[in-house]
Amino acid sequence: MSVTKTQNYNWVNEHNGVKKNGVTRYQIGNDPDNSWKTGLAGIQSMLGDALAANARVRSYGGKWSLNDSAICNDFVHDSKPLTTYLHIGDNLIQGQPLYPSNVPLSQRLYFVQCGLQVMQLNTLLEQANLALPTTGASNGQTLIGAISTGTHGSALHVGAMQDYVRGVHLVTSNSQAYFIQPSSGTLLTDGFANALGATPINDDDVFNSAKVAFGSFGVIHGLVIETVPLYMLEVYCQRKDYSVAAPVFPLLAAFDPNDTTLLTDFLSTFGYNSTGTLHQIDLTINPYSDTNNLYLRAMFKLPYDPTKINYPPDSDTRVGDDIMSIVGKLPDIAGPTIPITTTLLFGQVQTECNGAIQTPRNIFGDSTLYRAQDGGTSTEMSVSVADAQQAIDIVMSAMKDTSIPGVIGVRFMKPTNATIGFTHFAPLSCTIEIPSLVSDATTKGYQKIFNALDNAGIMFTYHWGQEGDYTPARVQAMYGDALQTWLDSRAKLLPTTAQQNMFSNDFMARCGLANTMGAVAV
Amino acid sequence: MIQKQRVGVKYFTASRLMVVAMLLVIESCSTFTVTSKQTPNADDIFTTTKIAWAWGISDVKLQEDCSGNGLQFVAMETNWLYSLCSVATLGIIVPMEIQYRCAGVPAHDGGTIH
Repeated sequence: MSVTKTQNYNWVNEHNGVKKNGVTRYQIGNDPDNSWKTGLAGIQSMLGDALAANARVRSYGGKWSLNDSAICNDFVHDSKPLTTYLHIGDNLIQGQPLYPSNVPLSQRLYFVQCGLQVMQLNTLLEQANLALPTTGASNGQTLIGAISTGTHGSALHVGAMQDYVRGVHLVTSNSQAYFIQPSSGTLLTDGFANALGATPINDDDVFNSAKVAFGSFGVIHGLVIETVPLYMLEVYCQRKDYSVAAPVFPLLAAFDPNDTTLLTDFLSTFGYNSTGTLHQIDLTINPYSDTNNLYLRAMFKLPYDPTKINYPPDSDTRVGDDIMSIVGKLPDIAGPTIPITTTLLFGQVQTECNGAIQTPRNIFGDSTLYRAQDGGTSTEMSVSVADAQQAIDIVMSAMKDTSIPGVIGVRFMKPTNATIGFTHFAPLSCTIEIPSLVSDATTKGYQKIFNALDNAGIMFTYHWGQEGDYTPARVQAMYGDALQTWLDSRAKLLPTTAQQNMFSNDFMARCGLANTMGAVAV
Repeated sequence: MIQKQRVGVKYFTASRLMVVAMLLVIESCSTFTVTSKQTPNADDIFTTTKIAWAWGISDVKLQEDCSGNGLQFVAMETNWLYSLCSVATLGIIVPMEIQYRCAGVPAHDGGTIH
């Protein structure tokens, strides 16, 4: 196994907004023959070191999280060198696919090690005529890092990234690992767990809890994911007044996955006409202007046909850019100029398009090119789609009051089945994201938004990888009984205080989730 | 009414000028970046300040061991102070800040588990 230790490492996230100095970094890779077993042995060795030193451990991937959920004070594990993926033989498959397809399930299942970044998966899957069912808007995260914080796309029929996970390979100590699947719809035989050297667990609650646990259940060495045949997205995006979007909210509140006619009729009034299936609707809003302050984007899913691709894959004017790209171009400036600067940039960065067709890999391209250079941050809340319009109005008003540098990204998706996945609202969750720059003004502005939503009685949750006023009471209110299920699942996998402590961090403590032994510390 | 409009125009113009002036100042700290598209990244970004001496007599060269994975990006940044230095010394001293990061480990097909 290949293990490199760096003492007194100064950790900083990709957006330069979260820092932790003086940690011990473990970089663990597979041996030159790329045997995944050597990488797994490296993780177990690190956990043995942690147990001996009574140290806490946190794995991280692309450093994409915008809060401290992915970092701890002691041992941090750079998972990126573990990039092997495996196929799964027919003899180990006993369950049914989530996504019916003519392509056999055995060709669509992948076991991916924890270091594979979304862009790597997009590339290797596209070469195999496959694709991920959905991703976030950016591609620099590791798949497992994105899933561990509940990252979502905007796919109306799919849900969040964790919803195509079929199995979780979790390492909890130097001598214990589990392969966790749901008890209902178990996909793989125990033979697969045996091949990994793991103890099989088939349990709905444990499975749905372990998928979104931000590293607190142990080190996820790998996931089994179900992919889908390669598809294309036909993208429409126009700049409009936000007021024109008003009709979309009641249509989405009455969303019927089997019949999207009313939504497609509405979109056709803007010339968004496609033969494909409606896949995604999202809004990017500039709160500092009353006109031309909306990008209304819709994506339609089409079967893969390379002759119909009409959008250059290497264009620098990408249609799938995430809204952090706007913030990344905002200078660190004083409050009074923020509305004007934001409005100027809003018109320049986003792109209008009329039926641009490309594969998901190229639609959701290199966000790393546009990262905020000097301290990016973000908060993202999820609300029920029924509350979306009111919540957005509140956010816009609070941003105007506080001059937070940034814009608002609004997306809609099917509710997740992860126990504490933050996009759990039915029939659709609506996420409201406000990327910005690190400053006291931003922190105060965010808090004003949270308070305003509380005062309006709107139930909301936070993206686990972004900023929020996390407190035990807040987390309890966000998830109710589901939180106890999650804590019970954690206690099953980490039955001792020492183990729970090993996979806790300051973020967990703020949430009241550290060392709880199955009881929330409210 | 006309007075109000004039005040509004003055305020608008002043604000725009302020923004343009600010952007000009910021623009003087400019970055040129070369990236490798859709390429995974290693963990560390390296930053170093180098000086090219005397019209290319001493060009800047950097080497990094990326384990054969190549570079993910290289960025060269200059600012108004570096530019002033270059002009004031007639190109004898040309400082620049360089950032770069190695590409990550490529994905590897580990075969099939039976």
